Order: sequence, then structure tokens, then C-alpha cells
Amino acid sequence: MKSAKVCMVGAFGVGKTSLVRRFVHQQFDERYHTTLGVKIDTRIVDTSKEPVKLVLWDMEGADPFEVDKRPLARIRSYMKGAHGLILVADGTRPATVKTALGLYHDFCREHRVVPAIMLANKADLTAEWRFDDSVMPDALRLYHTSALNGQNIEEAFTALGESLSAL
Amino acid sequence: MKRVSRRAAHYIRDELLKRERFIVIALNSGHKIVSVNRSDPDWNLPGLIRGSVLPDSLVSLLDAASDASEPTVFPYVELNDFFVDIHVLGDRESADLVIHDVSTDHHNEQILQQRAHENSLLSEQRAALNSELTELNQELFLRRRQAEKASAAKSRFIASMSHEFRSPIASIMGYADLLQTELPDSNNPQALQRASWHLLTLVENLLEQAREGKENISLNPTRFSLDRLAGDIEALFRPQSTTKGLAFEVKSSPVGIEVECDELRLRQILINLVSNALRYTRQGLVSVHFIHRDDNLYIRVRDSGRGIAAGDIDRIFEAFTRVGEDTTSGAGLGLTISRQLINRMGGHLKVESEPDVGSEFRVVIPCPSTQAKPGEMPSLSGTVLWVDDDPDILSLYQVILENWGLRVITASSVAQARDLFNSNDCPLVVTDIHLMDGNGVELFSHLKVQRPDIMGIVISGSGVVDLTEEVAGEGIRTFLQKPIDAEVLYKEIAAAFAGDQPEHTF
Amino acid sequence: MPEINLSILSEQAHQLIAKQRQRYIKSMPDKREVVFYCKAQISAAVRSGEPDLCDKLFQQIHRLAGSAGSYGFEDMGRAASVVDRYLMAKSLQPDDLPELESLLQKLLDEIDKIIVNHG
Repeated sequence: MKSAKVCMVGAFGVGKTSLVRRFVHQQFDERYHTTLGVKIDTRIVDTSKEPVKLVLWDMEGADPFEVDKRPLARIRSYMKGAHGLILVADGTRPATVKTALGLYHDFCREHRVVPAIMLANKADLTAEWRFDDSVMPDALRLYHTSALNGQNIEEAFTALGESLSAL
Repeated sequence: MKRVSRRAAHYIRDELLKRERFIVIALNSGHKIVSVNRSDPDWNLPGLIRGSVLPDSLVSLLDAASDASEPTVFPYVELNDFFVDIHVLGDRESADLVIHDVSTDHHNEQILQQRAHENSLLSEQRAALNSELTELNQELFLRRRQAEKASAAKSRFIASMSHEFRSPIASIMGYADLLQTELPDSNNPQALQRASWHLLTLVENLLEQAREGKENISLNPTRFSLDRLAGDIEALFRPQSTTKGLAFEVKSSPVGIEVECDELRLRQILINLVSNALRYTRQGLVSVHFIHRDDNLYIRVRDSGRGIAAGDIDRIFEAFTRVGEDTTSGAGLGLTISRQLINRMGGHLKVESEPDVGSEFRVVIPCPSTQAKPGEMPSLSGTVLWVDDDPDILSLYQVILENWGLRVITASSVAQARDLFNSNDCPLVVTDIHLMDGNGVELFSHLKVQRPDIMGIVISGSGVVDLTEEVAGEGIRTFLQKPIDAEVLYKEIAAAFAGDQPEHTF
Repeated sequence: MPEINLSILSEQAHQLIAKQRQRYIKSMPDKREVVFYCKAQISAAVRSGEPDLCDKLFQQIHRLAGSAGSYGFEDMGRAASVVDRYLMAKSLQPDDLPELESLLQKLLDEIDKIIVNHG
């Protein structure tokens, strides 16, 4: 079976860990527990071709204003060898879109272009929703997801799986 | 560290192994575990058994570490419940994984990181709320400005309309006056006048309201007869009270006095109060009493109407508010305006009322009674040249004339007089006959040549009789003898400037 | 000050006039000195026919006659007028001296009264 390293990439607090928990374990914990380092989880998705084993690297979030350079250095090292990227932004915090896109562009420059999708997470918070769909580059597919209620998560991960199976 | 002895190197290694826990896994090219070495026998990770294949997550690590020349380290990797640094040595063919337990460090750093991130998120939230607040404030500000503009526009409209009304009303009153002279035996022109006053009051009320207290109304005190005012009020409202079957009385005391007060505003107040009393009374009596005492005007308007409940007494003064359910006529402005005006005039208003019994409105307004004030002559204007060689005379009459409003130029000699006359406009010259360096009459003649339209008054300190022959020449209005009577002087100067012909010409 | 009928003047004017009157009263000693000095010199002046001296006297007397009434000092004014008319009516002869001196003394007395009572 094909195995693909997929990195969850984005600013801190956007919900990367929650998305993986929901996708892999069907669980959600609303407490915020910041990720330090990386946790690797796997799940197989069915595609039109063959099943693909997604090896999900859930890593700590980036902070664009962080004076300490170590988190970003770690993030860069975790992203090495990734076959696909899942960019995660918080739909209630517009600035996180830029962070995710920045990491994506840095990776493409440093390594190569890989299949990627953008998740605008926390779609359940409709009153605070500030995500502007129009800022998305055309090449990236966008999904409004919610780790809380599972909205669009299967679709998003499966779609990436589909792209990865084609490679 | 290259030069250390083997003994030292081993020692360091042993010390390190005491403090830190390591698992070293040797792998072959098929990701199969060749050997597992643990520095701490009590610490193991599941899935790491000699002969088995490496777990998927660790395989992923291996693939990522493509650079064979240098070890690759993956810090803070979560394996089961431990956090480890994983160092990858070697390459695909033959690799060693050094797994170093860093759970304690991770735990400490995670706490700091958690705090930092939580703070950051709170700051972001606060910033977002602040900007929302700013936006709302701005919108509020704009809306309020709009509302204020609209209100101001409305007030201006009302004010301009009210001004428009004044003109025709004034016209009506004027014609009513004329009619009175044409029909001296008719009472109708006066009735017309009174109704016009009523209309004027309503317009003034509107105007007052539109002002909304922004401009300070200047009061315009005039003298008027209290009897006449009382009579007008009585005549104005009698028809209405008769129609309603009410008894109506207006009394005023003392009789025959004149007072000084803003008559227009006072009428406004009275008309408002009496209108109100009549409006809310169905049977019984409405009475209006004026009493003038101690320079105050006391007015009492009493009615046997439906009264006002104690809780409503303050509300009746609110603009556009009418207390009670029935839709009686009136804009609800009368009492509001009345109170404002009374306050403005320095007085106050009290109300006493009992529902179904009646109401009493008591007003006090400062209002001096008038007596002719001594020494108040209308002021004059003009320039006078006064010539006398006695400085005591000059200074005294200068004070007097200036007090009358005249401009006084003094000269103590013919020479000085001529100088000053040349450089000033002096249509009237008052001169003593005897001057140090000449004769006052001659002086006047010379000046008259220069300016033919000047007028003169000649003064002498000795008997005039002798001098009439000396004097010749037009333009000298009169002779006055010292000491000069101020009243006479005033009359002569007033007449001179008014262009009246003098009684005698010399 | 009834002489010039100040009843038609305002309160403010009365106050200003009162100030002027005070100045007038204060000037009395100087005026008195002129009259006194001339009175003392008058005999010599008349005899020698010195016009200056007499002119000064005439001037002061004439002014007093004209101003005293305006300031409310009728008695002094009258005394001054008497001297003023006397001086104007005739050219002075030595025979006139006793009468003139007596009239001048009356004037001086009146001036003294003002100084003593109001000064």
C-alpha cells in the first residue's frame, strides 16, 4: 500500500491536533493543549485508485511574531520529505491564513511543490467567522471544516488522498 | 573534545548514560530491526523488538532523513506517552536510530509554550474586540451627527416658519389699530387686536420651542399699564368662558399703576396659563388675579377644572406632553414655554392641584413700578467748541456737556480757538465775550467766514444789556449770562442741533 | 448747587461735578493770594498807573464773578461781581481807592469763608 507523509501545517491554536484527533480517533476535546514537537498518526483512506496510508505529522504551530527561532526550525525539519501538506487556518482569525500560506510557499521553494489543501477550521463559530474565501490562491482547494462537528473533514482528507494516489 | 583520553571519554559517556535514557536501534535496508540496545532496562517502547519491522511512524522518519552524510535529529517526537529526540545515523542501507528520552524537558517547555500561546490568543481576541468597538463607536457618532443635523434642520424650519407668521400678524394688528381710529365707537377692532395677540402668542411659543434654549433671549422691558393688561386678558378670554358656561374674573391691584417689564413675554405667559385653565375646566370658575407689591408682580390663575395628579405635576411642564387621556386641543407647549420664560425673567412658578377639584398656578416675577427718574434727559450728540479763558468754567461745563453725550473741545484764547476750529468739525461754538486776547463775538464772526453754517452761543459774565449793541452778526442764537442754567443750556444746545429756529436772532 | 439748576442732570453728572467743585475749592487759596496781593499793591498801582498789576486783578475778579455762581458760591460771586462792575465802570482814580479796598476786603472775606468751611 502506498504510504504518504502528510504534514499538518499552520499557526498555533488553529486546530491541527483537533482535526487529526477527529479524523483518526473520531474524538474532540475542546480544551486547548498546545502541541510542542510532533505526533505521528496514521489512517488509511480509500481513493478511486487504491487505498492510501496517510502518515499524518501533527506538528506544533508557527508563531510569526515569536522571537525564539527554535519552533520554526523544528517545524522546517519536520516538514522535510513531506509528500503532501494540509494547511490549516482559523476561520475566526484572518491573520492565520497568511501564516499557513507562508509555510507552504517556503516549503515549495526549499523542496518541491506537493499536493496541498487549505482547511479554514472552526466553521462552527459562525458569529465570529472572518474568513475571506477570495484571498485563496486558485491552485489550492479550500474546505470550511469543523473538528468540533466533523464538517468536511472526511471530504478534505480523502481529496488529498486522491491527489496523492495519483502521484 | 578530541584530545581527551579514552578514560575521560568513557567516564563522560557513563555519566551521560546515568542521567539520560537512550534506546539505540540498528536497522538493515529493509527497515528490519537488527538490534535494540537500552541504556535503562526499565524503559522500553512498544513495537521495538529485534527481528520485527520498524513501526510506520518511525519509517516515515527514516525516509525524511535523506541526508546520509550527517545525522538528522527529530526533536520532541511523541512516541506512546513519551517525548523523544530521534537521531538518525547512517543511510537507507544501514541506519542507526538513537532515541533519547526528553520527556521532562518537553513537559517544562510545553508549560511555558502553553502560557505564551494562551496569552497571545487573548491579546488577539482583545484587539479584535477593540476594533469592533471602535467601529461601533464611529457608527454611533455618525448616526448621532445625522440625528442632530436633522433636528437642527427641523428647528430652523420651525423658526423660519414662525418668523413668516409674525409679519402678517403684525400687519393684522396694525390694521386693527387703524380700524379703531376709523370706527371709534366699535369694540370689534379691539377684539381683533386681542385675538391677534393670542395668535402671536402661539407663534411665539413655537419660536421659543424651536430655539430650544440655545440662544439667550434678551428681555425687552417696557412700561405699560397693569390695568390695561388685565383688561385685555379679560376681554380676550371672556367669549370662550361664556361659551363654556364658566364664571371668569380678572382682578388687578393696585389700580392705575404702570410697571416695567417685558410686556410681550408677560402676555405670552398669561395667555398660556389662562388658555390652559379654560381648556381643562368644564364647570365652575376661572379666576386671574394680578397684585403688584414690593416691585414684584404676583399672578394667580385658579380654576375648578379636572386637576392634576401629584405624580403628574412635573410632567405637565414637559414639551409636547399632555397629561390625561382625552385629546384636547393644544400643542402641549404652553406650560413648558411659560415656565422657561418665567425663569428667564427671574421669577418662579408654583402649581397646586387636586384631581377633580381644580388647580392654582402662582407666578412671581420681579417687576419694578415706574416713576419718572430725575435728571434723565435724552442724550444729545454733536461737537461743541467752548471758548473761555477761565479754566474753572471750561472744566465744569465740559463735564456737563459730555454727560449729555456731546463732544466738547475747549479753548482758552482766540488763537487757540481758531487753531482748534481749523482742525476739528465744530458746528456749534459757545464763547465768552471777554477773552484774554480778544472778543468772543469777533471770534465768532471770523469763524463764520470760514464756515458759514456754524451756530453760536455767547456767554458773558457781566450784564448782557450793555452788549446787545456790540453784537451784530447772524448765527448767534442766544446770549447766556453766567452762571448758566443747565436746563436752559440743554434746551439751547438741543434746539441748535435740531435745527430749530432760535427765538430771536441777533 | 441750585444756581445752575442741576436737577436735570443725572447721578453720574452730579458726581463728576462734585469732583470739579472740590478742585475749585482747592484753588481758592491761590486765587485769594492774587486778590490779596493786588489789594495790597492797589494803591501803588493806581498811583503809578501800572496796567499789568491792575489787569491781573481785573482778570481774577472777572473770572471769580463768572465762575463762583456756577460752583454754587453765590455770596462770593456777588462780592466779586460788585468789584468787577466797579472796575469796569470807571478808570480808577486815587479817590476811589478806599471804596475799592473795602470791596476787595469783602471779597477776601467771602473767599476765606469758602476756604474755612469747605477746604
